[in-house]
Amino acid sequence: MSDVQEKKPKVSKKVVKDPAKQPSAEAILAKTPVPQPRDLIDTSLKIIQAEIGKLSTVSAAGQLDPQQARILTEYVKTLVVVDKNAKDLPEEQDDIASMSDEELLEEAKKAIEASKNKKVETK
Amino acid sequence: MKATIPILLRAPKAEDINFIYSSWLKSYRNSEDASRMSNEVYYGHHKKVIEQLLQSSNAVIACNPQDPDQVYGYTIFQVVNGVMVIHYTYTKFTFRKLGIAKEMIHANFPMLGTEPIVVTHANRVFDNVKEKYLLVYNPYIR
Repeated sequence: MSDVQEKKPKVSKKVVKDPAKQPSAEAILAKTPVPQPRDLIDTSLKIIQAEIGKLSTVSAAGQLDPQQARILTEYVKTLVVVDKNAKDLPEEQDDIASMSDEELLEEAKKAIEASKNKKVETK
Repeated sequence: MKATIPILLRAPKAEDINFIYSSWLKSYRNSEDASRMSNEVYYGHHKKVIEQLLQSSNAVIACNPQDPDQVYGYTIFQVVNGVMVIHYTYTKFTFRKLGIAKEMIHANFPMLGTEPIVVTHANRVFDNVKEKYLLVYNPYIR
C-alpha cells in the first residue's frame, strides 16, 4: 500500500445565500456604531498627513515631479479647508451625541431612503 | 527653512490670546511633568505661569497668508543674556509635520541647529529633536 494518499478533488462549496435571510441595511446600520464626524476627519487627516510626509521627503530630495507637486499643493489646501470647517464641527457633534439610538436609526433610514430615491432618479 | 505650507508670520492680536492660553494649557497637560499634577494644581498655577511669560516674552503667530485670522501655530520666546529661550511652541494638529514650528523659530533665530536653544517646557517632541536642534531643557529660566 502506498503512503501517498490520493488527493481528493476539491469541491467548492458555494453557499447560496437566501436574500430574504440577509440582514437589511437598516439592521446592519443599527448594529454599526455611527462614526463621529471628528473621528472621520481625524482619520482623513492622518491619511493626508502621511501622504504629505511622503511627498515632502521626495521634495526635500529634489525629486518631486510636477504631478506630485500639484498633489502636494492640493493636500495642503485640503488641510486649510478642514481646519476652517473644524470650527463649525462641535455643534454638529453635539447634535449627534445628544440623539438617542432610535433617532440615529431614523436619521440613517432617511439617508438610505434618500439615496434609494436618488438611484431611481438616475436610472 | 520654509515650511511645506505657505505661512505668514505676524505678531499676536488680542483675539489670539485665548487660543494661546487654551492650546498651551491643554497640550502641555499631556507632558511628563504636568501629567503628575492634579487638574486643580496644574490649571490653577500654570495659567499664571503663562500669563507671566506672555508679559515678559515675544510671540510670533504662524497663520494663513490669505486669512491671517486662521492661526496654524505660535512660538513664545525671549532672548536671555544672548541665549534664545523658547517657552512654548505649538502647532495645530492639522498642520503638524509641515515645518511650521521650524520656520517660526528659524525666522527669529537663524542659528537654529548650530547654536543651543534653551527650552523651558519640554514634551515628547522635545525628546525627539533635542539632539538635532541642540535643545537644552531648563524650566527655571524666566
